[in-house]
Amino acid sequence: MMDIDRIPAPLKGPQVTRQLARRHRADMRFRLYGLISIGLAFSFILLLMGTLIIKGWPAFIRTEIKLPVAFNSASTPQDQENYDRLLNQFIKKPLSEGAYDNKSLLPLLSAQSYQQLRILLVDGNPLNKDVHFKASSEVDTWLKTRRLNVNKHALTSLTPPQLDALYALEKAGRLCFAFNHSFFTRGDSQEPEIAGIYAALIGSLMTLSVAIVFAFPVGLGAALYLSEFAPRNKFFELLEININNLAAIPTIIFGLLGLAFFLNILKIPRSASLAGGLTLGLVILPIIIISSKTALKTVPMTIRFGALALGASQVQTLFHHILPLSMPGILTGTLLGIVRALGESAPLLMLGMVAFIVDPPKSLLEPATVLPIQIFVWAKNPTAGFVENTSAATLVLLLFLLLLNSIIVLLRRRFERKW
Amino acid sequence: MLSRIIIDHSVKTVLMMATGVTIFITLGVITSILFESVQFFNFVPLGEFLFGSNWSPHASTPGHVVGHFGAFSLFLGSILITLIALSVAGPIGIFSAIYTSFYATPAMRNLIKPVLEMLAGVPTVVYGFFAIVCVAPWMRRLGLTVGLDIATESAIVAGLVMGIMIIPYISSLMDDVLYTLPQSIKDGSLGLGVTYGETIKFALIPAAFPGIASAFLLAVSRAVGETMLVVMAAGMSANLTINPLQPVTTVTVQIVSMLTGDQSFDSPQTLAAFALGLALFIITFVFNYISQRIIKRHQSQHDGH
Repeated sequence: MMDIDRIPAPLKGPQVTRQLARRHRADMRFRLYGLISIGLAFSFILLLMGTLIIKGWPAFIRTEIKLPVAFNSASTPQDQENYDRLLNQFIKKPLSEGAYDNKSLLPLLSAQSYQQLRILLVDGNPLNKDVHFKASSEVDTWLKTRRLNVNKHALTSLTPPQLDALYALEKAGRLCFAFNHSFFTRGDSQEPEIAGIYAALIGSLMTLSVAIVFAFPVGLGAALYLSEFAPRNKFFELLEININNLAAIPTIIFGLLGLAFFLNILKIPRSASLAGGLTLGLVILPIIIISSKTALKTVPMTIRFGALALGASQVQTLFHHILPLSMPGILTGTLLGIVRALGESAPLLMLGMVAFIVDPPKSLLEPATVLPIQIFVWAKNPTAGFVENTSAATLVLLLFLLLLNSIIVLLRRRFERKW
Repeated sequence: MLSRIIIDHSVKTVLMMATGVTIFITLGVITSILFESVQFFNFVPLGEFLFGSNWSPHASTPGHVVGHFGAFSLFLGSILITLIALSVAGPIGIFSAIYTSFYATPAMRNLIKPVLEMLAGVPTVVYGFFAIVCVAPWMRRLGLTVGLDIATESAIVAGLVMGIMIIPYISSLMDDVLYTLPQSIKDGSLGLGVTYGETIKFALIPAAFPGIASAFLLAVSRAVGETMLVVMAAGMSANLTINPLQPVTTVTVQIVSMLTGDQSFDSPQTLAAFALGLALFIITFVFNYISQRIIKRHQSQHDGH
């Protein structure tokens, strides 16, 4: 029985109301701080994405100059000088007579234009039609500034006669935008308008393939052994702690290991995608082991007991029942590893993968670069036009990551199972 | 029957070998770093390395040490940037986690958590580029309007962006810890007529404190080991300064800068990079280990609820 007299009378009165109101206000404030924090974090994401998109999308389009190519000479010219002379003729044609100096017009076109013309004229047939030539990066920036309102503060290095020529060309409707497909089909270059991410994409693909071929079987094997066969003792307990630690140490340390072991002891050439891939394999190995072990653990013991009771061997139980049931989880973990490896660049810096790569590597031992490193190299390049390229390459990288992450989410949704 | 035994044995052997590879990797990491570091400490005393303030390693050639290898300013730079990052990510991470674990409806929680975790999924090179292109010019302009000269490569820019990057490391782990606290603590406190905010402050946070501490430790270990962002945003020159507006360099930046050249493997610079790597390994290992221990103890404490 409770002693009624000892319970204090309920507090009442204006003082209590005031106090309560203050406490509720504090509560609201507390809640507001949370909202503000989340709002800040969200606005960081928006700012990041917004910056990349605003700066990056002009790199996906390029300026082209439509020139009337008229060629009926019997012999095709042989050297660059002759092609350049032809180009100069073509570019002059749409311009009314003015004081355009010969030397100032050719730089309006991209430095690669003569090669394009050579391919056009290679069979020696007469030609008479409009051909789109890629403009130089100065013209590209100039037109994008004018039409798209980007880069308002960019200083142009075009001379007044060149600008006059450009105005005339624009009036004649000979300047136009087109999709910059060469961004996806060319390697790195000193000129921003012809630099592309093709070599980096191929390099990334090769490096990732090596990483997966190395890390997936080893990681899966280790996870299977640790969760199904390993005896419970101090040694394996220590090993588990150690694997957790491997997953958390800075990736740059794996770069040191790669340098010391793959380059110095195994003598794999510097910059090769083989060394990079193996090093990335080391980085993602603990991720694959940990997530595979988690996936194996979610398969209930009853499945194991059932299979064993029916006379299946341990290995049969494993390969016929446990592995198929945990496969979605294992694949998810592997994809997480791939996501990690795709964005990783620090350990590769130390393996010399910062080389200037124009042509995609043909074998695993040739110098290669990967997409994040290409971004890093371009980000340091002060030439105008590389900011757009860097942002565009970043957008491509993020798109790949988004794609992989959506597959992970789908896998989880599709195969999530409650036992 | 015999073939079954043979298959069983060979499969187990293959799996055991795979496990052996992971052991081999760990040993490889430790021995390769230790081996080179020992060579390094043969010609640079440990005391000078840890507390010397003069860092100019590039003058040395193989077998001929003339540079100075006092890494104190590098450690200081790493600490400075980490502190700035924590002072950004700490409050934002903590309050976000409190909001998602207590106030948000399940639908909101399912929306907010993945979006926050996106911040951790962005490659660090992207953050580095973001720092160069966006944050550094803004900070510089902001500094000029209040009369401060902020260098384009400065500790504050690197720290700020790193802070954004490690928000999810704090918020996500802390949210997990707060969310899995036994319902009885919350119910008991609310039943006594305590408001939500007070429940969180006086009952739940203290109960979840170990988890919060381990989240911070993980974030620190992540920040100290971060490479690309600081390489791009913090600078290369070893300044002995705690002024966040000045360029500083970090342990990771110097490891990269000493290994990206084409020097021979036994040059003092390379060896110094391995010594820095050893220091980095020890620091992050200690933080990770403590963090894991705390989480483990915390889990067993709340088991059975």
